[in-house]
Amino acid sequence: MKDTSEGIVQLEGVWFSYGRRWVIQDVTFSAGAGEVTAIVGPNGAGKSTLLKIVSGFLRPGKGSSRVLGRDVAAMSPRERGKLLTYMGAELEPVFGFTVEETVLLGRFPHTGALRKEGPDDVAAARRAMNLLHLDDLAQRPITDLSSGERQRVYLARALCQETSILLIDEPTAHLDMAYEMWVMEVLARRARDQNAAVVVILHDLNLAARFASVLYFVRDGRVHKSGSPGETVTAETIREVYGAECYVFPHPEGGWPQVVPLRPA
Amino acid sequence: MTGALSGGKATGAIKKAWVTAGLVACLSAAILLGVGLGAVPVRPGEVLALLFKGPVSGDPQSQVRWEILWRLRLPRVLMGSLVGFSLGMAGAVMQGLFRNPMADPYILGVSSGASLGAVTGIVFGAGRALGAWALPLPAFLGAFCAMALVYSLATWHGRTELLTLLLSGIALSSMISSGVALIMVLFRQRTEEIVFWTMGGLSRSSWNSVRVSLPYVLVLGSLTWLLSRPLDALAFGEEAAFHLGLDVEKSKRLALFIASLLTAQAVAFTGPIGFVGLVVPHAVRLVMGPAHRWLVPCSGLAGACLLVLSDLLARTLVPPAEIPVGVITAMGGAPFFLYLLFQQRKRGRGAES
Repeated sequence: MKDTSEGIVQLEGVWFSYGRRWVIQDVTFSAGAGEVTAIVGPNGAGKSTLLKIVSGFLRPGKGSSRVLGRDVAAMSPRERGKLLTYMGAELEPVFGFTVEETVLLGRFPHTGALRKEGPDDVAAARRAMNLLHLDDLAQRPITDLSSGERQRVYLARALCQETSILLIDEPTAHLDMAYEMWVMEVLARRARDQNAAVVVILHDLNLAARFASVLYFVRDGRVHKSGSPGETVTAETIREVYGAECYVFPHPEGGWPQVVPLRPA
Repeated sequence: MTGALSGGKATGAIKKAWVTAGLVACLSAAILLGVGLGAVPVRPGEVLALLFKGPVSGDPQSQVRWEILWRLRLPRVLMGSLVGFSLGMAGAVMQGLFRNPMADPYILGVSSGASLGAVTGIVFGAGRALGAWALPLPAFLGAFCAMALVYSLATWHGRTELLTLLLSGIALSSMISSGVALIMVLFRQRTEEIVFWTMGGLSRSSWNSVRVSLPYVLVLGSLTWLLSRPLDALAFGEEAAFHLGLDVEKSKRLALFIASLLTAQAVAFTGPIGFVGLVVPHAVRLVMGPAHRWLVPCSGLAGACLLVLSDLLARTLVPPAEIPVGVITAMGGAPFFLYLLFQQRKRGRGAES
């Protein structure tokens, strides 16, 4: 499966700068369908920038960014919206759209600006809300919700977009322990069952090691190491990338690497 | 689960449809009142008879009333509705676009631009050349130039940054306003005329202005309504809107231009009338929610109601003098707005405890 699915998302020798400094330097990155790819690394490493280059929101200064072999910038906005979605650090909401209205906006690339949402769109929104346990909150204004609840709303909106590529910047931010695992489970299932390419940025290496098939360790705008959790999540890599001492051992149930932080190096 | 979800949506839509119908009814009543009341009051029944059947033949009294209603009050009331409608809609668009409930239709410097245009027209005696269009035409041109200038200042490599737009709007507005003040000082003999224009009001309304404004507002108003869903997406920020598959720059540009053109038309005919475009969308949002497909038309309707009623008060409270309508919109609108805010806060607290 892995051979056929390689490179649904493909960055080749990408450089990017917001002004003077190159914050992304010569990054080559790929994410395949049917699996979760995790980008990990310290604060300010360029993880979010990388993901926004994939989504087409930022244009690389050098190098190429392609999804399904095509240049994202050359796609029409709606075409892009049907193919890929991105969820990042969302702004504090100003207006009290209801949860349902917010999730339904995920249908925008499908309906366009003029057509009203049909039964299919409502059904998609309902599935997404149900998946993230938002049924009871459907008519609540998002301004009334806690940040964890809102995080689930924005995730539901991304799922409701029904794209084959999902780019999620910190899907588990603001979430409690149970929802952390549930949300990662939902994303992993979306990858597996619908052959979607899911790319996540994570701070929790344990979640990354458990749910991702491939990890990219990023530091100072460069890929330091990439590969399977077993190959990459080692005390040595963590020391090099984060400058922290850790104890790594196989998870008692699943055998994937489990990280216990000891001290800053 | 299924029933509850779709049920919730349906009842929401029905409630909103009723509120919209209520606003239409209010506006009709306001128009009827506005046409009927004044120095010569006419009962609503007679108003309808006069307007739809014309004066009773052979009755000079009826003929006089018909003249007053048809030539003076009706165009004024209709202009009030059109201008209120434009300002309400434009305010809703600007607030959604800037993600800021403090944004108003004049954010691109449209009102100061219009003032400069009108004042220039007054001072250089455009009246001789342009006749009835002596004020609206230069005012509209001024508004359009200000808007285009602010927009181009904030646009760089095809991208318009909203914060820059806001700031250049403020900067340019104050610059133009000082220009207006300068002209006032230099041409002291025209000061009264200038001050009268800058206070804003509907007294210059005529059938000519209605004839121009009505199709203009209908076309731009419909276009604004078609932008509802892009505006919903933009209310979540440009990055979110981009990833929802929106052409962010194009939508922003369209929304800014349409709202500013609506505003420019309103200011050109009546001078700057404050408060309507700021408070009406906010108040409507408290009742209807922020989804623009309801918010935009309802803000238009509510703005029309507010302006027609305010103008009615402006010309009947202290006859024969006329109070500037902006004074009334603020005096009547502000307490109502505070009441709504207070209600919302009470509800919010109830939900928390």
